[in-house]
Amino acid sequence: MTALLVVLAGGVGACLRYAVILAAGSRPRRATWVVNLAGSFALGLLAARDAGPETLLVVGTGLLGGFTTFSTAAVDSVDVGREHGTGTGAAHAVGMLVACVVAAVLGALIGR
Amino acid sequence: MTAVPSRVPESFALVFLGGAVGTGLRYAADVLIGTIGDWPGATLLVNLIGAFALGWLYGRTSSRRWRLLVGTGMLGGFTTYSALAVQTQELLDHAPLSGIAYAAATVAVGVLAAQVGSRLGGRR
Repeated sequence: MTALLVVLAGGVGACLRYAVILAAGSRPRRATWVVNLAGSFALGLLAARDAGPETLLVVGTGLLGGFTTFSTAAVDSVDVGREHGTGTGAAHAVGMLVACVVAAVLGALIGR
Repeated sequence: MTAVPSRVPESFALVFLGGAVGTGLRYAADVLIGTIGDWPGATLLVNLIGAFALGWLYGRTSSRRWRLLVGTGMLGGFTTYSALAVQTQELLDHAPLSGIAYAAATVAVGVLAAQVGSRLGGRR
């Protein structure tokens, strides 16, 4: 039962991400930043809250896992590197990592 | 508008279906592989495979439907940034060097994998 909820929540999370992509229009990379920052913050908060294993699986692994994306972030960095040079592409990748870890830390601090 | 209105329900259906499948595969990896030593091995593996596969897909096809089903949906659901960020944050608390190494390895190898996938998929 939990596995089914995780899978369905993942589908919902992916649809929410797609809604952000549509809202971002001609600037889809902004959507990647928005979903990854918001999702990292939310998972940091959830993990610190001791929400219980079931909630952590359905909301954390399912909803937020489906909402955020590493694959698109990596491809975005490659594209940025092609457009603006390798150094800028690397900065994009490191920048998103640092920003998302900071978002997770903030979520954990608020959640405690 | 970025999409013709009548296409929107179909697009969401493709993304939902792909996202559910990708999330299921990631959950299976979590259960089967879990952690390797200090590191969240399942998350590392799905993120590297997913980055490679998305680079390949975008090089290979410009079909809107395939990109939505497999790219935005399945590989987006398969990979995760929230778990990467929170696992890094938790590792930084207990084993800072290991946390930095895990995050740096994921991002460095992940971007490289996306680039290699994109070349193999036919994009120059």
